[in-house]
Parts: sequence; structure tokens; C-alpha cells
Amino acid sequence: MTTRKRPLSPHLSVYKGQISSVVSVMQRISGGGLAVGLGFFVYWLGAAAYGPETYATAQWFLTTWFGYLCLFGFSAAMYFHLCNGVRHLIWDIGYGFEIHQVNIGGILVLASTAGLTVLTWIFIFAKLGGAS
Amino acid sequence: MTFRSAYGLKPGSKRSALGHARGLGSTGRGTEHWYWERLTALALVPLTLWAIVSLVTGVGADHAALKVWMSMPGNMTLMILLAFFFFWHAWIAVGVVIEDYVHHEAAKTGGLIVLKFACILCGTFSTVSILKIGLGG
Repeated sequence: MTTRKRPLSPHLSVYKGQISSVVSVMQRISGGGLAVGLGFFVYWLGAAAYGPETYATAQWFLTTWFGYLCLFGFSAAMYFHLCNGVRHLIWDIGYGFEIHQVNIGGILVLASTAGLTVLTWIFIFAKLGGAS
Repeated sequence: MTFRSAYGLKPGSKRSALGHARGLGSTGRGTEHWYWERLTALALVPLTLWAIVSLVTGVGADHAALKVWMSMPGNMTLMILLAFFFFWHAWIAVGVVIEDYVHHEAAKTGGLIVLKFACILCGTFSTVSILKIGLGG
């Protein structure tokens, strides 16, 4: 059976970005990023399981600029996915469907992500600075 | 088993598959994926918070310190549960992403098979690693 090539919806490009839609698509993107992060999680655990030498190699890699960049990205993605995931769970039990609640929730998620990520890295660098 | 008999139609029946299916109602299993995605998410909320706090407070720890930390039964249990729920959640959620965006039938089926084997492999390897770190000499 041959079918005509018909346009597929949704035509995302014709819509103006809204907090609801942007946060929604970010949930998928951050989830995809975290799936990549699971590779790091497995590598780090495996390196530690093989012994001190392989663990030292993993620690060296994670503390290069590239390693820090990845860890920073994973931490931001993790906080975002976690906060927005809780927002989804609240919807699932039947609360927060009014437009203003959806908008406020989205802003709260973005603000919490930024705050938690910055706080975490301040704490990490303070701890690393204190140790050396 | 033919396609028609697989769906409960008697051999030789003149009834169409659509006529048979109509009016049967829901299978009652339509929300299964949705339910387990939420259940694993619910488990991961406290587990990831605990993991982040543990990781951040343990920054700069050497291999010996990690072994001591992992050898505590509570930490080991939560680490294994974390790995288990991480890969269970990824199994469902990455599967949904593949189903939504990969439209080539063979690539979609292959992708889902690779995803599921990868989740089982990585989940098992993580668990073995956690046990080795905590229990190994």
C-alpha cells in the first residue's frame, strides 16, 4: 500500500517557546543525558572494583577539565530531572493542573535546579580546596 | 499459531478480527509501563538524594576510604538498589524515547533489544562491582 507523504504534527517550530513546553522537552533531554551518565556510573564502579590503580585512573579522568565538565552537566541534569520528576509525580496524584500552577511549578523547577547545582559545586570545591 | 487464532478467533470463523475485538474493552494492562516508570521514579527520589549527599561529602576520598564506606551493609544495600532502579528506570524511559523517535521498524526493534541487554549487563556489572568493593579483600 502506498501512502502520500503527509505532514506530521506537532509542528514544534511554529510555536513560541513556553515554560511548560520547554521544561517538558528538557525532561527528555536531561533523561537522555543521564542515560549517558549511567555509563560513567558503571565505569567508575568497575574501576573501583578492579583495584586502586584503575580507580586512580578513573579519578584522574574525572578531574580533568573534560571530566569536570561532564560531572557538572550530569549534576545539573540530575537535579533538573529529579525536581521535574517530583512535579510529574504531583500531577500524577491529581494536583497542580491550573495554568498558573504549571507555570509557577516550571519556574520553581528551573530555580531549584540552578540553586542546587551551584550549591553542590561550591561545596565540592570548598572541600577539595580544604583538603589540599 | 496463526495471527487470527492468536487473538482468540476460532479456526474457520468468518468473523473479522475487528468485529471480534470491538466491545471487548480495555485489557486492564494499558497503564503498566506508565505505572512502573512512576514507581521506579518514586524509589529514585530518596535514593539519588542519598547518593548525591554521600558522593559530595566523600569528595577526595581514596580507594581505601571507598572500600570502608562500601563495606557498611546499609551503604551497600542502598548502592545496589540505586543501580537496580537506575537501570530499571532507563529500561522503560529510554525505551519510550526509542519508540517515539525511531520510525524504521528494524532499527526500533534492534534498538530496544540492545537497550534491554545493555541495562541487564550494566545493572549486573554494577551490582558485582559494588559487592567486590565492599566485600573484596
